[in-house]
Amino acid sequence: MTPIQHSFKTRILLVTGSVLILIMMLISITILFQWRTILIKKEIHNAQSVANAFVVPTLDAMIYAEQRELLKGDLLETYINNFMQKVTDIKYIQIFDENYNVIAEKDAAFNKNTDSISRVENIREENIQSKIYKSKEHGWILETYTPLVIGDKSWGITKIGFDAKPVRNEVKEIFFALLGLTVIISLVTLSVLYLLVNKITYSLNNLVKQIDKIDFNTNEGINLIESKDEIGFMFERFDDLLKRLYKSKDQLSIAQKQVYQSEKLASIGRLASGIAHEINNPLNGIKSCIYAIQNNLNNNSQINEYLSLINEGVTYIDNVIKKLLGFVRQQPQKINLYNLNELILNVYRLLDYKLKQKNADVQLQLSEDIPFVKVDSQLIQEVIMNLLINSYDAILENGSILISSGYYENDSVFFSIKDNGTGIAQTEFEKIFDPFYTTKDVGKGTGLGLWVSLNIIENHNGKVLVKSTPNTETVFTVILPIEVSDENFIG
Amino acid sequence: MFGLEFVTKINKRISGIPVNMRKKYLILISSAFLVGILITVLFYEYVVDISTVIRPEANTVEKTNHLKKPICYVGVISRYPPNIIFNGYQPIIDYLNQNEKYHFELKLSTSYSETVDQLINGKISIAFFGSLLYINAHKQYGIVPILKPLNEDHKPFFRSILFTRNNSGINTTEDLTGKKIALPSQESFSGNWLIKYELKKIGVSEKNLTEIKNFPFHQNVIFQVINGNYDVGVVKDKVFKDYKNRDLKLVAYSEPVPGSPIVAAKDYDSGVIETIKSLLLKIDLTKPYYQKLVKNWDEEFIYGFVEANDSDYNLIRKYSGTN
Repeated sequence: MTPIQHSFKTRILLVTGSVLILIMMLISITILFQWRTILIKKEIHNAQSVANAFVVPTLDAMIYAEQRELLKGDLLETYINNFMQKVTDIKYIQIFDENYNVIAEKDAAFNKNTDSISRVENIREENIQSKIYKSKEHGWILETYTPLVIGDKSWGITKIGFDAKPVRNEVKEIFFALLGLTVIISLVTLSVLYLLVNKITYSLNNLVKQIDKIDFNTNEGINLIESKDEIGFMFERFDDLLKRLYKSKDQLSIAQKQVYQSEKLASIGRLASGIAHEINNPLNGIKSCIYAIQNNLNNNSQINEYLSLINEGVTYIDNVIKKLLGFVRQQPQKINLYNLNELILNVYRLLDYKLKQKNADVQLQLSEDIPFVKVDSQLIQEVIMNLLINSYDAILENGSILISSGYYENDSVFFSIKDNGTGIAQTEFEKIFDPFYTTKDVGKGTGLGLWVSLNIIENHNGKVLVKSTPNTETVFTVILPIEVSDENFIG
Repeated sequence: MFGLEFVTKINKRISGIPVNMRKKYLILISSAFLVGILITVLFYEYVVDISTVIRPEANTVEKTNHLKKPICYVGVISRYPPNIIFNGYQPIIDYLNQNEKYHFELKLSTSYSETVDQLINGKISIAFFGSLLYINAHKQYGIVPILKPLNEDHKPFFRSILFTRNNSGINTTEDLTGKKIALPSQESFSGNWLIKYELKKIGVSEKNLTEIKNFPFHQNVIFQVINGNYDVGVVKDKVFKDYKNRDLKLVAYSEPVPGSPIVAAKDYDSGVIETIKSLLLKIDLTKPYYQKLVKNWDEEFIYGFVEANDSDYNLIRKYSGTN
């Protein structure tokens, strides 16, 4: 049996599994990005709220300081210190005046208010509201820029750096949770898919096994697993198909038998004149004897002599009739061991008279040591008859026919019929085994002889070889295996 | 033992696949697995990189047009805390800055008299004044009124409100004997009306009261009464309106008096004054643009302005006994 190169199960698992994993990944990625965006937005929103809460007193302090002409920096740093003590997520705060000079700041990393002038950045150009980035000093930072404005009046801007590590950790947790979920769901679904596909392929394998067990000789049904799903429906239909196949096979067998029989009868029809002559000769002798006995009823010794002649004639006729009947009668299939030479001689005797009509030079070269072959004698004789009649039809007056038999290689035997008749044209070679193809005159052939013969020999696991040189010689060789399995016969 | 059986089963299953196919599958699955791990690692790095930059919806780049215009300062008497003044008055200044000639800026003071000084000394071009402060400053320095605000009835008046807590038991001015009274600045109309006019009418003098105290801002008066430090207080009607839901009730109110004027020194720059007048007088609250514009203004000015004359404030003079 051919090994399965592209397993149905593997393909389903690969394709469906890949699509499934892809869909799961897409869903997870979508959720992850949505979640991540929500987390970041929420964190930024919270940071901005805290920054806005810081800005209100800062702005009041700046207005107050401006009104009282106080030093803003001192007042603001007190605010910053108090605020950072209460909001521990803040890493640093910077307050810039309207000219973007740092007027107050504190950085938790240094635990002191730092020299700010050196870190006046490009706030004006950047025009940023919030940003998250990784800084060398603080790691992941969420930085907010909140302007200190009322209407169009600006007092400056505050920059507050919040620790962004917690939100990053949350993103990490979501990533691993979704990854785990994707892997688990994919594995579970693939397992379920595997079991389902396994169930389907098990049913199909069972069907294949049952198909392998089908025996056309016994016409037995097959044992398929009962199932109420589509597989069960398919099994049911397959069982119906098998029954129809058995029925068709039976009908074909009957039709084939009828064709064989018809062809056989056609052969007999063509032998009729010869048979009649064979019967007529002894009948004339019997007639003469009866006439002689009637004329001389008292001559007992003569009567005895004539009666013995009559008996001889009747026995001859009986033999002829038996041979004919033996060939024509539809006997039950008889597969047995037969000597091929005997089958050849039986047919040859039946055709002997007909061959003599053309004064044919018939030679027999039958190998005596060939083994018995297991065949249906009726069918093989029909083949020999068809081939011999074809040779007879092909030869001219005084033509020659050579019938031979022997071993063919070591495991087969052969018989061949060679004649020096008209032969077969090259263009007709491919057609000679077609049904109803004939080159003979109307009424001389049915066109089924070679087709029937080929079918018979093929059913015996044999071969028919043809070799022909037009107007020189034609050889039909039939090869039969020595051992033939019974199951190959249609009968 | 389970493991061994399992492996045997697997081997049996695998053995059903041809060897070359088995190798192909093994290579395919291993490659997919390795590529999957690589993609996961790269994707992880991408996901945990939460770098983000958010820019403001409107560009807040500084407006520099005003640098080309002369700066004019606008004073505000210290009737409210400075942050409240900025919240209510800066939007008015922003509106005034729509003109092409001058750039206006608020200049706050710590007292009413400081604003008067700023005006006289030319530190400010105009000022949001109180009515009583105006008549005194007019008398003393010749300060002139320019505009006065309209109230919600579109009249150029306001009232001073005498109020108390709902549970104080005080219902009329006659109940004030022996009570503690909180008042705004002595330089405001509301800081004088009750004592100098309303109580005088019913024959109650300062001696009949336990305590009278002036606070710098109207809001201070409100909270002193809410907190129970004082029994009654007097503030401008618009301030009372903001806090009346805080368990407060009205006891008495003044006649309508001319609204707090916008004033200028007598030698004012007519160009500045005309610019301010033209902008503030054209406010038309039937138009959506102006309705939106005044939304954040101090409530005293959201109904617009009319021109002010000195004679409008004679009523104040009558109340305060000033000529």
